[in-house]
Amino acid sequence: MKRSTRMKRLVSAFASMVLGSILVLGMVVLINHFADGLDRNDGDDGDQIVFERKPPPKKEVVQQPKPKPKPRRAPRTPPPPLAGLSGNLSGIDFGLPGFDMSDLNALDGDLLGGADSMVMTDDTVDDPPRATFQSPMQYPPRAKAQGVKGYVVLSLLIGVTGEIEQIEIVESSPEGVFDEVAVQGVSTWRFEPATYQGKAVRAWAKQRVRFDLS
Amino acid sequence: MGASFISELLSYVEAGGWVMPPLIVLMVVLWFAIGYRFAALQRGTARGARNLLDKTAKRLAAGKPPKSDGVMVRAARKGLRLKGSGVIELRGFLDDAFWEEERDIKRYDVLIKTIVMVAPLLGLLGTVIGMIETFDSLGDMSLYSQSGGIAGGISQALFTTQMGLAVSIPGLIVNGMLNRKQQDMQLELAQMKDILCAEHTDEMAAAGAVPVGG
Repeated sequence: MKRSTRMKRLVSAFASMVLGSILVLGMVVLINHFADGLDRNDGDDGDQIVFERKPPPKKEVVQQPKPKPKPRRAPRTPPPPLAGLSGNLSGIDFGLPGFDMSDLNALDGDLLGGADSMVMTDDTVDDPPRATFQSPMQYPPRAKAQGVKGYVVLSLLIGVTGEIEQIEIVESSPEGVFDEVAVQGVSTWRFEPATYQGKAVRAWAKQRVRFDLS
Repeated sequence: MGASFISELLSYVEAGGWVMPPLIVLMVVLWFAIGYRFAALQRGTARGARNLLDKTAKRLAAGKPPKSDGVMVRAARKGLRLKGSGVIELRGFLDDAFWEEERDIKRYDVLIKTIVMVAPLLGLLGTVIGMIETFDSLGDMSLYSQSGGIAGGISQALFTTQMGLAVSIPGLIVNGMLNRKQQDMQLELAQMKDILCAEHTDEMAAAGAVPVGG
């Protein structure tokens, strides 16, 4: 193959590479742009609707003769119970084994695998977990020097005995500044476990830690 | 416009997770290959095989340079030279000589097919990863966290599928057209071989050199 041919092919390949990439990426952006545009409400049109309220037309009062009271029916007596229904059934054998309701309660624990392994949330428990001991946290020195304020929202998994099993950072502002201090600080706290129907259960709890310079 | 386009694009890439960079690389390679293939599949002439052979024979006799560097023109010149050199088993030599042209028109064919098939699968992989993240966040109750959570997982799931399809579909269409062109040219190369061999046999028989059958 000649040099010029090869060069021509490479030039064509690179040109197509650039154009094709722009085409595809442009397509993707365009599609999503329009998809966003569907939700967007510019508020230019139809933001004001004026209702014209007409006063209701005056009703002409027409004196009507009072209707005659309807003749009252004599109250019906309920039909007499079928005499001897139970008596009729009592002779039939349904072939059902005896059903004892007292077994149901015993099943409860086994069926759901016991309440110990269940994890509940703030909303589903009767009493959410409460902090019984909160140690003060150290303000990060660099943030203090720069006067940065913020907060961290943590999700804590509190076990049956009140110990912290897991800590997740849900939200933090500014991101990453207070995370470590908050997690370390909260992990030394003590909690009273959440209760559900009088028993302690594992539950997720949200805890907001605010860092304020004051 | 340009800056907002790029920032929007970057936000999609970020939302898509680690599947996005490979997809973009695949897209670039795909369009490079398509451009190369487009340039390589130039015939160089609009004439049919028989007509082209006649014209090329005249140009060769007159000592003129080839009109273009298209595949068919090159093959015709090679074939005529071989025929003129007076080899006996012409077909074998033609197969050998045309091999370069046949390789040229098939180059990157498999690569393009592979990318077109793999891109949607990569998108699907991204979707699965996004869904796993979504269910994870259901598990540990960090539903609305800054990084990930339900919204992050689902947007990852959707963007990667979209990107995979957006890479694949144009490539599929363009490759279909190129494939058609390639098949036509392969047929014509075979036709050219047949014509050359037939002429060669006639000439040999006329000269009385070898029995018919070459």
